[in-house]
Amino acid sequence: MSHDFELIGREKSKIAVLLFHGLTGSPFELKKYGLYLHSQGFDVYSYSLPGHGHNIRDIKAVKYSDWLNCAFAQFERLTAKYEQVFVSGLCLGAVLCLAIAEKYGKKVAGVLTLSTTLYLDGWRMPWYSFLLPIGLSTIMRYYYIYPECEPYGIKNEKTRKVIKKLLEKSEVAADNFPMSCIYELLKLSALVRKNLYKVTSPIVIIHSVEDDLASKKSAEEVYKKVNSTQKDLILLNDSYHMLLYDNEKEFVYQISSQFIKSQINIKNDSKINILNLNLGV
Amino acid sequence: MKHYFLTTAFALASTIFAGKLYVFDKKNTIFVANYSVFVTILILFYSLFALSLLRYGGFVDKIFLTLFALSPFIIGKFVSYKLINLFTYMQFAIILLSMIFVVRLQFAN
Repeated sequence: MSHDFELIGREKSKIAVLLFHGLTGSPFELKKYGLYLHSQGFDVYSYSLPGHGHNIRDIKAVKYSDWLNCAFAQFERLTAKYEQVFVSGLCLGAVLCLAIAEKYGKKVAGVLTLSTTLYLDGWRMPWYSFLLPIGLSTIMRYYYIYPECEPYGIKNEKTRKVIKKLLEKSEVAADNFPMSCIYELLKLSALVRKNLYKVTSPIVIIHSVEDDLASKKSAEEVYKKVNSTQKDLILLNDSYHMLLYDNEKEFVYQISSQFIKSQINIKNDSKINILNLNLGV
Repeated sequence: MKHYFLTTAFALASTIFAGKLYVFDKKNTIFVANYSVFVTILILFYSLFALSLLRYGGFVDKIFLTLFALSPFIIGKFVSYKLINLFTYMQFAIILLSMIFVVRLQFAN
């Protein structure tokens, strides 16, 4: 079942926001976030990444280069149609946003990363996580499956119950992580980490200090290494990994919208400055 | 040390074979996860015990033992989802070969 969505306004917008979902997730997890951004006047797009959205077995055959190519193609398609394209994503989606910013530089109007997963070092990692490098380097990466378990990346208990039920039906996301896709995520993360200095677009990094999958180390490394003149690191205190469904989701929505609006204003201001220079003012 | 190696190799070969036939495709993901962790621990010990045998035998024996020790990682480098069955049985065969090799080494000494 596909959860892809395109939220396009009646009036032609010049601003598009491209959203990427997380590992084993689907665009469903971005729907409310997308609707909020759309209500603020932006066209919003989100599609399933390769290997996601159908059978969980599909993800085992996917390489990180498939995700990258898909993300690049989607970004290029939108840049041909819109004046400014912002990218935002959660978990794996955040890593893909960084990869886009590394490749396309200033063509990216702005980057919003949520729960960036450069390292899998959150507090929910099991006791045997020290065996991960061995598991990943052997045939076991195609057999091991990490079952999704409490707290499902969500601190809010009511929401957690709802998500747990949806996961049991496998309607919106997979209820486990095959190790092969963790392997691909970590390879992608290593590549992105190496090139973080190429990121020059304005960026907002939002991460929870209690993230159960990726500690704040990932967000801090992004903040430290990117070369954007405008960069902000926002640490949340009352959420886990799934920021868009947790206690501070409204705050995340508002910050995202404010950030995009501020970049539109900056672009408009710089146009005025250029006009003034031409007129010799 | 050879006995440790042989015991671990036997356990590893058995768990991979049984896993392939009865466990890895099960829908009970918690059981599959725990079983896989157990196999991974066996792989770790298999490699360590194989390396610990490097003090026995001649130069050619040492090369073979190193290859056996690294075999899970060499196979892991080339494995793909499409060829997982082939590489799993290849790993199984290499472990059996390594056991025969170490038994031969034991009698040679």
